[in-house]
Amino acid sequence: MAVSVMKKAGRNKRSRRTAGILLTLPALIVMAATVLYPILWSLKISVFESKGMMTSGSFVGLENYINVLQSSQFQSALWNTLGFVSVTIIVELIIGFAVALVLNRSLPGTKFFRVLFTLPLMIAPVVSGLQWRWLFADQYGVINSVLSMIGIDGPLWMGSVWGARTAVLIANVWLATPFVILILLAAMSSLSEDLYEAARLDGANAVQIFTNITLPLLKPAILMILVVRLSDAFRVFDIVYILTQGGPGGSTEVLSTYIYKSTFTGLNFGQGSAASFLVMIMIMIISFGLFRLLRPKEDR
Amino acid sequence: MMKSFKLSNILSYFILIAMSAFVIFPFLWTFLTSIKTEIQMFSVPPVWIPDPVTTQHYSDIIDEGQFQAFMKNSLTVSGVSTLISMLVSIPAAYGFAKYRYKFSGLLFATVVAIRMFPPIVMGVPFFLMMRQLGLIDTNLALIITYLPLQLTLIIWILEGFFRQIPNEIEEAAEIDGLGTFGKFLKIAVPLSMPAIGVASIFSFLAAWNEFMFALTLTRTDASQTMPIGIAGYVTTFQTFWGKMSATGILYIIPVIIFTIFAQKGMIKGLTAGATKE
Amino acid sequence: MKKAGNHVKNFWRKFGLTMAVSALAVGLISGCSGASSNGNNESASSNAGGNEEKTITIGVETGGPYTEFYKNLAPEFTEQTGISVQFLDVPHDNMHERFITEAASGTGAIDIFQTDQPWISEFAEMGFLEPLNDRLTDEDIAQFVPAALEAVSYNDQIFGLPYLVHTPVLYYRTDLFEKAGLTEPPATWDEFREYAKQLTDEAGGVYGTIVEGKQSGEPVTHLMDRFLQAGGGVLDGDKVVVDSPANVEAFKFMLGIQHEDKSSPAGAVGYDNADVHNMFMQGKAAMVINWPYMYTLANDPGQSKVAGQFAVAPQPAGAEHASAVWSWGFGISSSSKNKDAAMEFLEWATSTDMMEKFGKHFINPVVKTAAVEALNSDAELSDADKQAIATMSEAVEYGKNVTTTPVFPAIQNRLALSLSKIMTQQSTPEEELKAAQKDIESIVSQ
Repeated sequence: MAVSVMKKAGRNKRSRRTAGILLTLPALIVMAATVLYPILWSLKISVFESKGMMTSGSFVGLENYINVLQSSQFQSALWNTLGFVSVTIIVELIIGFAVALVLNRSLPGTKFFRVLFTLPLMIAPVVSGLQWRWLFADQYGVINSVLSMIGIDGPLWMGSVWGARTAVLIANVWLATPFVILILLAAMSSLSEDLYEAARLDGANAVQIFTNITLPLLKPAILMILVVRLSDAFRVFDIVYILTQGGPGGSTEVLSTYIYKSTFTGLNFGQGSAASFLVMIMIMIISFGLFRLLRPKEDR
Repeated sequence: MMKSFKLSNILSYFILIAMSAFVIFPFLWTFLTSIKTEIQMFSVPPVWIPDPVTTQHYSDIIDEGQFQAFMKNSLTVSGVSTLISMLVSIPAAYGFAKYRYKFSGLLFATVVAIRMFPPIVMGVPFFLMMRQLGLIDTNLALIITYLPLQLTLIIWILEGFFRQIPNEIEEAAEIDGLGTFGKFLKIAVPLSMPAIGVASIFSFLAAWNEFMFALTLTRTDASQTMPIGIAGYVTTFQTFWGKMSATGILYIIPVIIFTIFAQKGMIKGLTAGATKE
Repeated sequence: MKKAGNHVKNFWRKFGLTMAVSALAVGLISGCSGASSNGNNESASSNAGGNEEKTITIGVETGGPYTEFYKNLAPEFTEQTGISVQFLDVPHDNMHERFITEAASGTGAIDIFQTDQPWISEFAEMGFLEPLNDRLTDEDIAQFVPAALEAVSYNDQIFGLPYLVHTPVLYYRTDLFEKAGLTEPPATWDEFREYAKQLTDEAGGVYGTIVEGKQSGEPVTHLMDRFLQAGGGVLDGDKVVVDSPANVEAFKFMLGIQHEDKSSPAGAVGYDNADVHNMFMQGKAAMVINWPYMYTLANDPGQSKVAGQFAVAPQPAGAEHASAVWSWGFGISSSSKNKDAAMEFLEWATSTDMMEKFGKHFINPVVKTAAVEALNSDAELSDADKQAIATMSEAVEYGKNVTTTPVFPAIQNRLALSLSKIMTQQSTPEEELKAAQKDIESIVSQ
């Protein structure tokens, strides 16, 4: 019965709208019921003077926001975060593409590698942060011991600026690349084989096929990866907090560790909330830019 | 032609093996740590092969009994929240992709934007909310909290995939007499099965790995999940690496099984989609 | 979803749901904010009644040694008083954040907080902890060693009872000292630095000492000791005195050991106490300054390669013989509905009998004079253990409470940055302490 109603409805615009609302409504209701209160609470606390999580009553407007933007710790955390986000996403994409292209060739054994490569996703960032701290440890850590076996004097991972930054990057790439691989694979597997066949008949080589066919067709998937990874990398917390706590000398302090410290150590919930909204706005702006750049005009 | 094909195969396997080494190494080391004695764990320089091998850490965590509770909570919370969020978000993603209405673009953008909010501060309002509902220290509190995390992710991933389904296929289906739900169930879902499989994995893992909210909203092992249990091995003075590693190894087994099934489903979905075309 | 299609029905369903959601959201917002503001009043009045079939909840560190100790003995308390005890475990790194969330929302779900020293003034100032003066007799107070209750006081009020008050001590390898022809542990900074240089054996992979430099809270506690020993500090009353020649001196001493003498491993700039105890227990460090807890661990042959080959001594003195004291204890939540029962637990947990068991179990400084005496005459303890307890207890006596300000956690966080910047030579002591002075002034003035 329902199907037949829908069938008639499918022909005109109004019932398409009804269908759209019906399809999306349950999700919207769940979203509203779960995050509306937390978001509004944070918004409220960000515009009041706060002592701990209690607002002390005086409305301060954008003062918390201005204080955050002017704080040198926020600024350096912002630069660190931007650097981290851009490097990690580029590295993830390069590795992700290389691996996904190979896996997509369906050579013998690729099924096994597929499952294998999803392993890092299964470990909580908190846990894997501890794991990596153990691996990167000075003296009893295994990474430097392996490096010294092949004649390299390993860096002071936790004791030097670039050592710590590299360590955070490696741990994060380990955690996040499987996401990139899986999305790319899912996208590649829905590409039509006919196109490739035609291109090969036209005498295109592998590189040409990749740049002229695969890459353009994967644009939507890449956009999706960029936006998800951008917002996750921008908010990276567990791995940094556990590996370095922002050290040495604040060189790995990122926006989330800054927010954590100002909220729970400095007990300035107002400032923490304000910083959170600022982060959200920044991610939105960058995502919007990516959208304009990568999504075909007619789809916007 | 033949030669270059071979060469590319060698290159392919080189990439696969290099990646495998990178991926496996931390797990391998964790496993080795889990069967070492305390003295060997901290050896300078590190000892590779445990001597003697000990299963002490494993029997310790099983005997303490909390491991089982954490596992049960993790599985319940991740499983139920994934199920609910998939049921709600797959149609939503389809709706956002194919059936636009006046504010759907804005609503979609809002849903995506919520994912961009750093969660650290949100632990507190979630705590206040759950306290008001009397749900602190229950699995339900975590399920409710994880729904928005999963929904935003799934909707965002699947919207892109649904959007790519050519309108011609849908039009052909309409001529065949399929309505919205017919098209959704018989065309869109099967064609996007790989993406749905991936989305379900991510959604499950988002809950499985979550730490901050689980920390704030739970109090005892009636609802504490595995990441909280593992973080508990880091104490003021000492980190219990042996027990932590053993727990870490046991902790990933259920997800490996889940992933194998989800991937099987993905591949099945693929062939199903192909025959439709 | 399947039955969708009937427009009229859908309209009403949608309408109903929308209303329900808005009502829920509005209810939550008003409800929660209302509750959080009057949570404290509500519970303050409900502080009467006997202890029959009462249950108290204690927020503790997951798996911590003291947690385990009290968990094991709690049934005795229940037997004596009829009060059941429930433990609520929080991983150590998250205790502060978790307790604040609980305390500030005034639920009274936690009756007793296990309190770490840096939080006491902060929690007291925020009104999270119940002052105990009215519940303690002079006699009760006199039983504690003076430094112990000073550590848990804020504005002359006592905010908890400590079961442990300690300060780091010097651990030194007796065998290596003998080999090097050294007979006594170093008593001064100069001796310490000299010995460290002498004991460093790079080929054998043994370092003279370890200077912790990780950007984290724990290494800052050692930095505080160095400041005090140099005659410096952080606060003088309400005045911030971070940028002082004495503090610069303290850093120069540490930098000298780390970068000039190289008698501390290069990686130590990223170490905290966990690395220190691993290195010491692996026999890779000849002298380390660490907390009393390490004594039992390092004497356990199952974990340590140096069992029976080390002794403890007070920290070497700089310009002054001083160090900071830190306590672990229990405080009663001001929103608890079982304050009397909670107080009974505190009294039991810090009773002379329990403190004696505690000292014996951990080989720790002991907070009650009577317990120290009892341990001294305990036949089961070896002379070395008795000596260690005496040294550790003595060290506490010249200790100072440095966490007298409610903003100490924020100051500690800022100093962690300074420590790390200076030890990794990203900045000089003079320059960095100036910057820290400015930031800490603004933290204090908030």
